[in-house]
Amino acid sequence: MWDTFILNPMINALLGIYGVLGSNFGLAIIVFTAVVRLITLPLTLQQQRSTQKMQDLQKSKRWVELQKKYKNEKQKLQEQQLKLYKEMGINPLSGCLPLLIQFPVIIGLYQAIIQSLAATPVQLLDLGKHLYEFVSATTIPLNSRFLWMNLGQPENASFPIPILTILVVISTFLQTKLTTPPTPDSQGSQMTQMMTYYMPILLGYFAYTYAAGLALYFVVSNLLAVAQYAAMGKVDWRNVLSFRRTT
Amino acid sequence: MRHNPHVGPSPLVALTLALLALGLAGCSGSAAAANSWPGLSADGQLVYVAFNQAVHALDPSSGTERWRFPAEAERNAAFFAAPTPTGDGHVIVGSYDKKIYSLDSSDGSVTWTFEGASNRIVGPAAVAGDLVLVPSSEGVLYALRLASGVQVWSFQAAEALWAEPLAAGGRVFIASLDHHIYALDAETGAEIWRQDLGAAVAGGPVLADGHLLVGTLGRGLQALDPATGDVIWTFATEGWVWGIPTIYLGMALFGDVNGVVYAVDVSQGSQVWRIQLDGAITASPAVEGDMLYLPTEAGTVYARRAGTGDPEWQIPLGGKLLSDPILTGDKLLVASLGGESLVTSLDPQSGATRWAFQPTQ
Repeated sequence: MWDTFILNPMINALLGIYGVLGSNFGLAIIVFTAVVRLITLPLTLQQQRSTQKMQDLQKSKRWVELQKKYKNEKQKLQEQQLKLYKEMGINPLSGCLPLLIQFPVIIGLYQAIIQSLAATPVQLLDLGKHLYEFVSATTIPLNSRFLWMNLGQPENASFPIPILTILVVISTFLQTKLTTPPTPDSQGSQMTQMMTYYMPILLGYFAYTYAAGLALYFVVSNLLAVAQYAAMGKVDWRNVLSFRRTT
Repeated sequence: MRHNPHVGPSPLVALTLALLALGLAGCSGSAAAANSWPGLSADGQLVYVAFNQAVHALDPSSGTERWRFPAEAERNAAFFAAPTPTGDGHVIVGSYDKKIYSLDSSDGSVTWTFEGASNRIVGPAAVAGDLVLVPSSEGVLYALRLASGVQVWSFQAAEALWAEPLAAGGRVFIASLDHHIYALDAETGAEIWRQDLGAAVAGGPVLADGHLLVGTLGRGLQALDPATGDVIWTFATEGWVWGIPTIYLGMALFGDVNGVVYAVDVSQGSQVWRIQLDGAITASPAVEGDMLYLPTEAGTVYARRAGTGDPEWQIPLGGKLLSDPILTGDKLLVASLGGESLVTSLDPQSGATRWAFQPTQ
């Protein structure tokens, strides 16, 4: 099921793009990431609209009053919040749902990149099972060289300075900082702060440790996410230099 | 999933994504992960199996482990290429840690180590006179002095070399994932000819009746003139051909990853018979007498009449059986990836299990 509807189409699309782009897997990852982002754009937009609604609600007078009124009665506060959601026609989970739907796409992307690179016999044998009949045997194995990197190996294996890892850390920080909306309460703010620093370190670790193809995907995906938000006028560049807690 | 209504979904989702990424990144594998299947070989005295972090030497009659190398697992070392007995009391093994070792077959001690490779050793080595030929994943074929491990020459292909080299008539034939097969001068490593096969080659070539036979991942078996590299005939298969064909009475016997076994007339390139098995075939068939033995990825070992493909017996062993089976003495040895036992010794007549070996930690 997973292979039929997610992984196989992705791998074959990736290889198709690779063939069209003159056997350049780095470019194929960039274009493929952009195409997938474009396809999932409606979900991204829906998620942003839900988040915006939620933010507007949390800034409203009624919401603030509720927080003050029931600050010592958590159970009651939750009940009242749910009531307010209902009244305003907001589903608090609706912001999560589109992103949850995107998870399979993101997972598929990771797997497609890793499996396409097939650096070992087991991986190559596995790749063969995912290929459609029309995929030319001449594309296998993929040319994993891109700029200074071997996309099938960690960047540190072939280049002393982990440039891509640094780019992953910076772009993840920017993406998290620019696209995570400020939250009006201290708990939410703390979590946002944590994610701003936690995510770049985590993804930077992945980028340094695993195949450079994944790191390239991280960078492209981060930059496209920022570009998407910027195109929608949602990016506040002043946030980048703001290290104060947003309350 | 708990949703905090105070917070937008992004941080929570990002955290989940990070955890998912942690799991997914594991797909890329590490040196210690089983990213290839066991390599199996024998020299009459011992059975050798290379798998993951050790090479095990087993007693062929009982399956008892005589020694293992290294004695203690090393973080970066991983062995998958079938060890190559040299005939002079040594066995050559290549590792994913980019090193090539010559081990004393009596106790597994290291005679020499070659550390000049810059990438994994996936394919098995071959002995050619006083040289040992070792293919590497950086596309370099190393010719090392058998006694000392000193490099004599090297040859650079465009892509990884996973196939076993073939030495014959003063030449070395080596096939590459770069779609080419090369003929080299065994003395110097100088290229004599190369032929573009149109698809990657993961297994090695074999010589039979003046034909150089090689299977490709382009769904076919090709026969070349070993003198010039010219293609004599091409036999189309349903799936990728991974293993080296085995020659039996003028026929090339081999399987493909779609589970089809073919018997092809070497001189004509025409099909003699074919049978469908239950899973992908990457191994080279073992043949003794009129019997052909072939394991599949689905975990079944098949015994068939080599002349006709008619069934004799088949047994499910479990795991993925992707390694070349070995016939030694009166035993058929099969290695399993992910099965209950790493090596199983079978009676070639009946398929009954003689012994099984599973390494202790």
